[in-house]
Amino acid sequence: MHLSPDAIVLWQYGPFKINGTIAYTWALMLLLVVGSLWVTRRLSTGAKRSRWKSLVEIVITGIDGQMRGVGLREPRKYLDFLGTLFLFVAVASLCTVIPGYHSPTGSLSTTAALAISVFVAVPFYGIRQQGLGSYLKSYTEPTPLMLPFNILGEISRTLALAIRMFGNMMSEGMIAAILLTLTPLLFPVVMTVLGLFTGMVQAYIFSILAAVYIAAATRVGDGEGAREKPESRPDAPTGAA
Amino acid sequence: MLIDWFTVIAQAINFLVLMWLLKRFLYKPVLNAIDAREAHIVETVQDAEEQKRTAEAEREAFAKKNEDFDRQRAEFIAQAREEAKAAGERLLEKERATVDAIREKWRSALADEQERFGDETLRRIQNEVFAIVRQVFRDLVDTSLETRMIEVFGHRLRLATEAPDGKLAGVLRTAPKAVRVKSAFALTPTQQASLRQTLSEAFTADVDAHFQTEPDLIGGIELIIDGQRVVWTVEDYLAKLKSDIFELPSGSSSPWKKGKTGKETSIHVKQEGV
Repeated sequence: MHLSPDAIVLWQYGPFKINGTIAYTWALMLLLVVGSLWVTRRLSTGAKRSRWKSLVEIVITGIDGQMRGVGLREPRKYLDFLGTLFLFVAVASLCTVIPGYHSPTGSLSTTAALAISVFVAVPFYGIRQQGLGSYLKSYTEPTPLMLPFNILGEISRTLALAIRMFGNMMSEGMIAAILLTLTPLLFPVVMTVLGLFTGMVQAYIFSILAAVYIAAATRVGDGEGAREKPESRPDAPTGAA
Repeated sequence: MLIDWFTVIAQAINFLVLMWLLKRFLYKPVLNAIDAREAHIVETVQDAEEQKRTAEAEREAFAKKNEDFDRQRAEFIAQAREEAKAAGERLLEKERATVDAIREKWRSALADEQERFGDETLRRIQNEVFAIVRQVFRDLVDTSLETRMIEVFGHRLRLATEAPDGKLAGVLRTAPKAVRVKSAFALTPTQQASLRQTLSEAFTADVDAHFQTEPDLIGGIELIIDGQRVVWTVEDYLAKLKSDIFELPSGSSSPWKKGKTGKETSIHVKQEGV
């Protein structure tokens, strides 16, 4: 029983290795790219389109709508990042129904990598939107005294992102494994369904939180004064999930 | 250790690569297709609205044309009715005039026919009557009608000249140099001498009489004295008889009876040429 697919080492040469996390990630990447190519091979601009194309369009326009809902003015700028986050986590969770599969998101390394990506993306988009000076100045608001707390908040929320997803995904696998040993019939099926649900919820939460952070970082540049409304800043870790 | 930093870095790189791949193969084509479809839908809707506006405008134009057409049709029908009525009246008037003309022509033809018939009848009557009378005079009276007519003419002429206010007296008052005597029959020398004698007595002077035969007179003698005609014929009598025949109302008495009772043959004086 592996707690994390990291422990499944397929190949190693010094510090370089290919473990289960990387291998499953590559498999997911391949699946997503091939699926994209298959779905978009003959895109029609007319009223008629296939079910799969409609599904993909619904997913993408849904992500677009959600991003707009959390306050991003131009969601398409952030669709690459946020959409990929959602699709990767969601597909990684959906694939748990495949026997022998271990979700890469069950690895703290993966969730940490995704959290670090968010951690980098937030200032990246913030600086691109409002400039370096204006972005850095936002850490000293409402008062310079808040600077350490703001920096601490940035780090802690990144850590929270990583831990939250890892905990949820790993625990789901753990619970399923434990219950499988206790009640091998029927109950694990229910747990698998529940796992699919929590996986989708995690994908949604992770993407939405990333969107909210980016929205908070870019909103100052939009002239809405997000920092003037402390209650609207989603710095506080959302421990609910 | 739950975190393997090599794996973290590898996953971060994997994530970036996946992001680029999905952007290249998924988001861009799908978003482009969505944009194109939206543009197409917008264009279609705009086209539909344009067509709707055009159709509305055309419908209004058509309704207006229909209204104009109905109005014009009503006007045309009313005008056509008026014209037909006027044309009908004109035709009726024309036909009426034609009928009147035909009726007038018919009346004229009828009158002409009556005239011709009357003339023919009179001519036959004259011929027949005079043939009979001559025969009667020859057979029963043992004299000719003409001789007897000359005697009566002389007697009447004398009576006429004796009437002081008579029209004939004025004509005979001045003795003419020459008198033409027309008769329907050729006068014998005896008759001519008798008539010349009568004229000399009437004018109390010798008169140079020229005798001339005029078969149209049928019976009687006509003197032409200085442009005046002294008529002693049955022409007037017969003319009266003709008018009595053709103008006689139905149920009236016979013209013969009237002629016998009401009319008396007498000498008339007329302008020559009448």
